[in-house]
Amino acid sequence: MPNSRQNSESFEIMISNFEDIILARQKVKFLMGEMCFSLLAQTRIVTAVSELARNMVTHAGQGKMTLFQVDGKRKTRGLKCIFEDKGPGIQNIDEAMQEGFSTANSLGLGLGGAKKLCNEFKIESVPGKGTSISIIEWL
Amino acid sequence: MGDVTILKIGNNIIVPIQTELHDNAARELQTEILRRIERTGVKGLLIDVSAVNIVDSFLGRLLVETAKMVRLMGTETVLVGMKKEVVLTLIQLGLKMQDLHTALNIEDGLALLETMVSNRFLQGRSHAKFKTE
Amino acid sequence: MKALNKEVSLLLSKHREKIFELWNKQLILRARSLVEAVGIDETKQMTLDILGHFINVMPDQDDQANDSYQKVLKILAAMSRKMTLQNITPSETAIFVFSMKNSIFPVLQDEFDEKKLADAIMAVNQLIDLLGINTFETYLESREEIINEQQQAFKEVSVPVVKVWDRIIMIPLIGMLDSERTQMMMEILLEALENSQSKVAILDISGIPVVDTLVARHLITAASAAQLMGAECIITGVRARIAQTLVQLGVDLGGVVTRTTMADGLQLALELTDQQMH
Repeated sequence: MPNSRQNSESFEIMISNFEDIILARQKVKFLMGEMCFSLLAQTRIVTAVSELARNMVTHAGQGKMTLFQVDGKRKTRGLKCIFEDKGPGIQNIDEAMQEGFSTANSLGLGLGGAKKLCNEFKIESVPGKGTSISIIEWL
Repeated sequence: MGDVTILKIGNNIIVPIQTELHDNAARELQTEILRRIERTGVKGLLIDVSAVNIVDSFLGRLLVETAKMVRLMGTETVLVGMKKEVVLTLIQLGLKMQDLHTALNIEDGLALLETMVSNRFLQGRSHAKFKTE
Repeated sequence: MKALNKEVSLLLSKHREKIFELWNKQLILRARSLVEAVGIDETKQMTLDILGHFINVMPDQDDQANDSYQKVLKILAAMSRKMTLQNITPSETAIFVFSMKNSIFPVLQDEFDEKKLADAIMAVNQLIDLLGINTFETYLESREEIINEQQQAFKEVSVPVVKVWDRIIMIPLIGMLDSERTQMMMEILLEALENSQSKVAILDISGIPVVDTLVARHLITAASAAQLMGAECIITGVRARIAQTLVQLGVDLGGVVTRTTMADGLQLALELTDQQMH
């Protein structure tokens, strides 16, 4: 298990095109609504999900998003989203996180932007093997 | 895809975005808007985003670029009705949308377009809202 | 071990009255304000209840799902929450639990030989320590809750929105403007703009003692948020000192309109909304 504090069923969504990004966004929004996140938190996280899902589609062609609830310290609950792909991976993570960095002719706000929008952000990448990014938003 | 209606009212085109646009649909909408302006020669474009829940860096950039393209064609753009959650998210994301003219609602937006269009030659690209009589 | 625990439990049960007396005596001696806050009769009832459950837990003390164990925790949690609310010090709250030891040990001492005594004390110690830790956690938790509530209340009063004219709102900013407060101020600002459909927001910075690069950046952020919503933002209260610092620091306010006085700001706001003072 990727996270021992997982406390409910998880959802998996395969993402391989732009329509899937919308589906992923809707699923995250629905879950956050059920968990009673504020509208602002929902908007922030769904935006981050949109950035990360698009990142997967443009750089790796496809990937998988996994969603589940997690328990934190002091009775807090959170939503964790993991994005995994088997794409080319990222050579230099620090560089990729910087604002304005882009290899795909976008604004380059994708990774760094997503990080700014959520409570926790973790990225692991092996060049040639793939990338895994997980974000958590606490209630 | 073709879900977004493009309305022509008087000398303006109004685009109320009512659905969640995926990237390709958004690109198509941009092309469609530019074509309509080319065909009709209107002087104002008003995009209503009051029903849009998410503006990520892609859609944000597309909107800014659309306004730039439209300006090259001699038409002014006003974006109206952006939700406060969307605004706060864009700010946090670090997306700069300063070149874009905005208004709270369609009514204000149309009034702003009118002043912008009529003051265009006098004031160039300075902020049309700050005209002094 | 199990057998000993049972023995201890029986012993405590037999001397329940004596332990109860001793414990209460200790409390009056060492945690007077706590007893006063809770009330003497209520303290007695509480200690009696805890003792009863404690005796039940003793035989298998490792079973935390035990009904009695949960009950003890519940009583202690309620007590500790009450202590936080009444501003009883954490040490007195701790004494409440730990003085239980001083009332139990003498009984054990009288009844057990040396070898048994050490084990018995260890067992009792372990259980009471666990209870103490739990009590303390609740104490801290409720304290945190109170602090959060107070912060929330402070946040709400610290950013008032004033409707100064039709479609013109004003927010007087007072004190420090750090990024957290800016975030909160922006949320309140945008909500007010959305609800009132105001066209102009005036941010008055007269109450901000020092305007440095960071504060300026926060102000620009707030102004661009208002602009994205479709409103205009005017910053008033830019005194000579502030103007001087901003320029010397090389801060570019990015096209945000500024004025020195509130009156000038309002005048400009009226012009922007095509209104006049009657």
